[in-house]
Amino acid sequence: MLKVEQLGIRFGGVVALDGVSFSVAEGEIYALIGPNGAGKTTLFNCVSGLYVPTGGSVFLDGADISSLKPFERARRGMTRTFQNLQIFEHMTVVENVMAGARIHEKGGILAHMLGLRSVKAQNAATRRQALAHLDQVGIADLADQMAGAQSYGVVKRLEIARALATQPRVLMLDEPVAGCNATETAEVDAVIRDVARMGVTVVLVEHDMHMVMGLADRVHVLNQGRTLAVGTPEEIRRNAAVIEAYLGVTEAADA
Amino acid sequence: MIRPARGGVKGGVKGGVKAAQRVGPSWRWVHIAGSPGRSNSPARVETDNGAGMTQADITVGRRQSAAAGRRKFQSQEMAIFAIAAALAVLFAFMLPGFATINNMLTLARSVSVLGVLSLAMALVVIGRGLDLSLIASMAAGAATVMALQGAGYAFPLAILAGLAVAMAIGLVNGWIIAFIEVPALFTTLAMSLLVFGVARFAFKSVLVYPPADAHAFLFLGQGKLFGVPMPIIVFAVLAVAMHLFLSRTTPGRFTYARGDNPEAARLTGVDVRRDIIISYMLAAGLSLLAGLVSASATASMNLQIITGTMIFDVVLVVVLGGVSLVGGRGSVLSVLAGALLIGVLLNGLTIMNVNNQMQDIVRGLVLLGAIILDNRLHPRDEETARQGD
Repeated sequence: MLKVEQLGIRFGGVVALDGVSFSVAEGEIYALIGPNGAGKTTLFNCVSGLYVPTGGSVFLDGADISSLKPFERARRGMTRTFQNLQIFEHMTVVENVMAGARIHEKGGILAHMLGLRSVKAQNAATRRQALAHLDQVGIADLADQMAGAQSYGVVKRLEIARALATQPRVLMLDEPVAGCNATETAEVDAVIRDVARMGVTVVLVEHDMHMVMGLADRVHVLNQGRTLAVGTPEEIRRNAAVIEAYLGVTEAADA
Repeated sequence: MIRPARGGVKGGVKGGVKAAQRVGPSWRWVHIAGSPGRSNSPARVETDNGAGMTQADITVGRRQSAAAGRRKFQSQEMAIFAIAAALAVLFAFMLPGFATINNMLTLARSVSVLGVLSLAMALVVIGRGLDLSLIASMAAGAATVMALQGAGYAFPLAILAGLAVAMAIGLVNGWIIAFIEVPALFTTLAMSLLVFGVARFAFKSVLVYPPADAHAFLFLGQGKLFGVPMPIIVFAVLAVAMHLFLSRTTPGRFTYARGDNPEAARLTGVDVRRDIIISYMLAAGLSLLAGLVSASATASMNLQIITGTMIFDVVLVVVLGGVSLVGGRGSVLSVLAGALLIGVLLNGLTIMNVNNQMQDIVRGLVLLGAIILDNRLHPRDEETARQGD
């Protein structure tokens, strides 16, 4: 579904990413982990089109999307969330999600301005669909409240709901549970599993090791812009290089 | 409770570089006493990433206070309508000649041009922009139309040419703002001066007149339809059209989305850069209509208005009505409210024989007050304050 080949980017003299490749199957949950500055967010930004990589290609469903802009990638079925929440604060919760669905709406500007019946039906359908997405992430009861007034955990899930409304085939989540408490983390965890079950490919960056190891089908470890290891959570846990560079010390700190 | 904090280096490219050089893990643990582990814990340390992101928690905190403000003043335009009405009642009792049909028509006509310009400004500002060159495109466009008519071209053709001039100004504005990512304030300010110079050069004089037999043109500003002066009709029609556009169409809703959070808009599939350009072009097109009405009403266009105080009135109307300069907020109702209040105020002051200097002082004070209020109600969120990438 998503294939990344030999992706590289440098900022000035610093090589932030160096020949990173991976591919993710439909409905798979793929986690990117690595110590600070390993290039996870940079990789995310390259794949979603925010950064223009200095080398390598990104394929979505076999098509080369390397030169497409973020909004074009969104229309093709790739969307993402940010670790520092990006929502429409002045809209209600449900309007946020409806905004995600609008790229799929039809009808001319005049038809919309005149409020034709077909447009009204479409608006109602979009709202129903948006409510369904909100229900999926468990915040349907907040639909008509202002998005800017919601708590952190709600906004996190709202972002996912809005991303789902664009009907993505690849959903990229940048630290979906950063700053969440245990309950919120469990809720987001459940939402992600649910999304993957629907056949959406999920790529996520996350620092919560406990969550990643329980959730991901495969884990990709980055270190200093290079791939350190790729494998199932079990394999990664046993990988000596990973333990040395990353996990081991963390667990030591944890103890 | 104990929560992990990553890095220790603040965001930004520099932080990313430093972090990249670090070998091995960079975890440390921060002990936060009594933190509920939720959003508004101020002690959470958020770092890691080279993209210059800010602390999510601070943002959420600000967001919540902004939301509280929003609830308190949910309908700023209604408050402004109320103030305008109160002022009108006051003037009606105080000033002989204020509450007459004739004066009401004068008042409406005087705010019509300002109102159309304010619709244009609102369109841009809701999308988190600003167009200080509206007066320039208005004057240059209208002058083009009149000059071409004077040279014997047909009215429709002259209008198309004027529209081309205005939209070209909007296109260049939008392109510079969207792609070169120069702040709209500076781009449009410079454009204004450029247009002023070019227009004076092209028209040889600061005053441009229509030919005396341009009846269709003169009807726009001086004619009446069913007893209603044309400027009012033009404003009303454009206001309704703009309202329907903003509130019902997908591009209209995307304008709010773009102004609210350009990054999020981009990720939901909005072509932000293209839409920025279109919004400046539409605004310039609207300003041409305002210019035609104005030039027709006075049978002249003085290019000096480009460097005059009119743009302040436009900003005043828009901000006063609740179209926040931060973007993403406001409506046509805001423009109507703002235009009404300014209209009543200036009309009353004129009847009271208050001189221009005093009127400028009053307008300046009201504008300052409105901007301060806007800033208090809608603090700019630094995290999303960028218009481009």
